[in-house]
Amino acid sequence: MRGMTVPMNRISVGWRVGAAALAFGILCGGQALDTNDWFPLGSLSQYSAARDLDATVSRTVLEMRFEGEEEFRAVGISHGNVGIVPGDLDSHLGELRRDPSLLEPLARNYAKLHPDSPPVEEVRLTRRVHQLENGRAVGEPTFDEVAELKVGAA
Amino acid sequence: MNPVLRFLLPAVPLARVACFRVIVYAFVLVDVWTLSNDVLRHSLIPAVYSPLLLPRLLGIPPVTQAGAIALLVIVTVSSLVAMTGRLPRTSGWIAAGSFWCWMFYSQGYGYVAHDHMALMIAVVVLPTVGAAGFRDDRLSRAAGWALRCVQIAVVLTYFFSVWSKWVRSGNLANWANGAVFVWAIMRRGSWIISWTLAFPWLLIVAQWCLLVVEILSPVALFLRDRWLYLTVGFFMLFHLATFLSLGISFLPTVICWAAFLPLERVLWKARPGLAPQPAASGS
Repeated sequence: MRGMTVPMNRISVGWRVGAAALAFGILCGGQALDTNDWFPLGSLSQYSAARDLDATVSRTVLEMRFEGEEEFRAVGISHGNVGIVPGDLDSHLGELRRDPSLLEPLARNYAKLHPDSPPVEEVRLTRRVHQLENGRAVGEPTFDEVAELKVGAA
Repeated sequence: MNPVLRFLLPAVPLARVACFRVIVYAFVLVDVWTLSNDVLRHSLIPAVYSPLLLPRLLGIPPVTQAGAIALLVIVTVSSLVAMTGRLPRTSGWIAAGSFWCWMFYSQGYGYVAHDHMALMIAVVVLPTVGAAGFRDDRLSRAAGWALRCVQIAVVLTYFFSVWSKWVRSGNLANWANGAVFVWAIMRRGSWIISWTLAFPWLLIVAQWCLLVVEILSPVALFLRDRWLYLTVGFFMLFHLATFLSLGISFLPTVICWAAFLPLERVLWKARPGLAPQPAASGS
């Protein structure tokens, strides 16, 4: 059973229509300008860039070398490991190439989030690059070093 | 009332908003404590802070650890109060402001996710409804407007992503005939989906299918009953599939699909004691 309808005056109708129209307009602007800056009404650009069937596919790889170890170990780029996600690093690759000291907070976060782990001595960020041919990965991946940092030397 | 106003301000039972409010604020708690709990760790890397437009205009500084904890407490308490329906405007506005601030800190470090638009709209529009109880079967256009705003935000999350594909890819065929799914699966695909990398043509077909689904998503605003439930179910399955195959849950948007459903009827059926009492005959 349905009850009575709560009345609504013209002002209540007016501001609601206006607010919805304003938000819609901002969202349209966010799409037209292709900007994430207007979050949460920015570009809805999830997976929106076309990828060529013969292009390369790159993945950012974070590695750390710990005290008492010779080799670097891959460390998952996640909130639980280093406090950020791969997208955060991918957005700052240029700055990281110019200033490897920006890797230092990752080592610090890792130590804080893994108190039982041996101290981090070196951090390295690379891009693993696969070549596609007609949509299929071919050959072995190549590696492009983005930045490397001796912790404490920044 | 003209058809546009009837569409934008449909009269819906206030109990529907009472139910939706519980879902939204409960999810906000889940979100700040699990999915978007990166704010506490972002406080450790102030150098990477890249504030978005609104935080820049408001002069919001990088988050500190004390600030993050204080914000978490405010979001949590206000959401708990708002969930109960007490002080719906006050608690709702505090929850909205603190949650938006939380999300600015979550998204202000480089990567900006696109799954939160409908949820952030939901926390802003819900306080405008005011008091709404589980037994309240009065029809309200204020409640209808709030739910309609969330519904529009949900479908535009898909529909406007088509616009973005057009802008970024030149035209939609470039996107659909390309290697976007190959790229996504190679970067983050699970074993459930990795086998498809051997069949790029299959992924191109899937890209065209996704494009059609996204273009047609606004149809959900005009469906009723069985067709609407089938559509909501389809999108739930779609998001389950992307979660299992790529680890992308889109949960904040998934939750907001509840705005399309007659939640009060489900509640009244499950808990008849909360259903409104029929008026006495002759009264």
